[in-house]
Amino acid sequence: MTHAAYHITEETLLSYAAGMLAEAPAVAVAAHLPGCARCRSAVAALEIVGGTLLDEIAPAPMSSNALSLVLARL
Amino acid sequence: MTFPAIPITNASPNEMSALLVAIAIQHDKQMFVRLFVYYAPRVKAYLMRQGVDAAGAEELAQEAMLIVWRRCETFDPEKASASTWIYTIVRNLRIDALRKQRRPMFDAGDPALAPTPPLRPDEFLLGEQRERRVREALAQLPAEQATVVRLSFFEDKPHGEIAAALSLPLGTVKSRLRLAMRRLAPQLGETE
Repeated sequence: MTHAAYHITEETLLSYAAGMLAEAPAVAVAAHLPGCARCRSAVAALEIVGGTLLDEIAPAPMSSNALSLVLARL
Repeated sequence: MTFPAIPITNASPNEMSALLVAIAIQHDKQMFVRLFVYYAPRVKAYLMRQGVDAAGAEELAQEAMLIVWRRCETFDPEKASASTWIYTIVRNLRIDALRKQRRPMFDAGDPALAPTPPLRPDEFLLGEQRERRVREALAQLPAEQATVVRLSFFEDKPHGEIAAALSLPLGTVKSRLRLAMRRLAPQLGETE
């Protein structure tokens, strides 16, 4: 296990995984993760929470031409 | 080019992961249509829940689905489910869009634009297991903890404002978050 000199607070890891962290602290977290298995795997777990919320959310209908617009660009 | 109307499916996350792998191998547009029908409206809803207006969310959802098609070969079902992988694409896309709005000229070498570092081999072998464990932990969170976790994902608000919105003391919100985090990511409680 990699030991980093410090850990990011849980609150900050949560905001980071949620994409809600301001730019400067997000840069600091991004720089910390490669050297810290604990924080890295916490972020991975929290990203799974994000994926689960995406599964659970009530869908908002796309515009009627959205699919053909995207298919035209594939 | 017309496509038959396909009903919104309540496909399971595992089905979607298998579908995404198949798309990467076969480059089949009909398969992609199924993926689009499931995810695009969810991505749009997710972004709207985060405060993106309907038109912006629609546009970002289309962009996200294009990225999914273009990068599908990098999807590894052993590391994460399709939903988790797509979630990270959407999250990063929204961050980029906000940044471009604020500052049209940005530095592409900015470390903030780098994706979350990939997990190492010994970490991602546990990927599927972790996905199951986290989903179960989330489902089993007491409602009061689940609420503060959801608000943290959806609201661009400091925890003080979440506390005010829920009419709770800040300390209560923080302790609920802490308890939830320990269940979702038990490694945070490990001492080194």
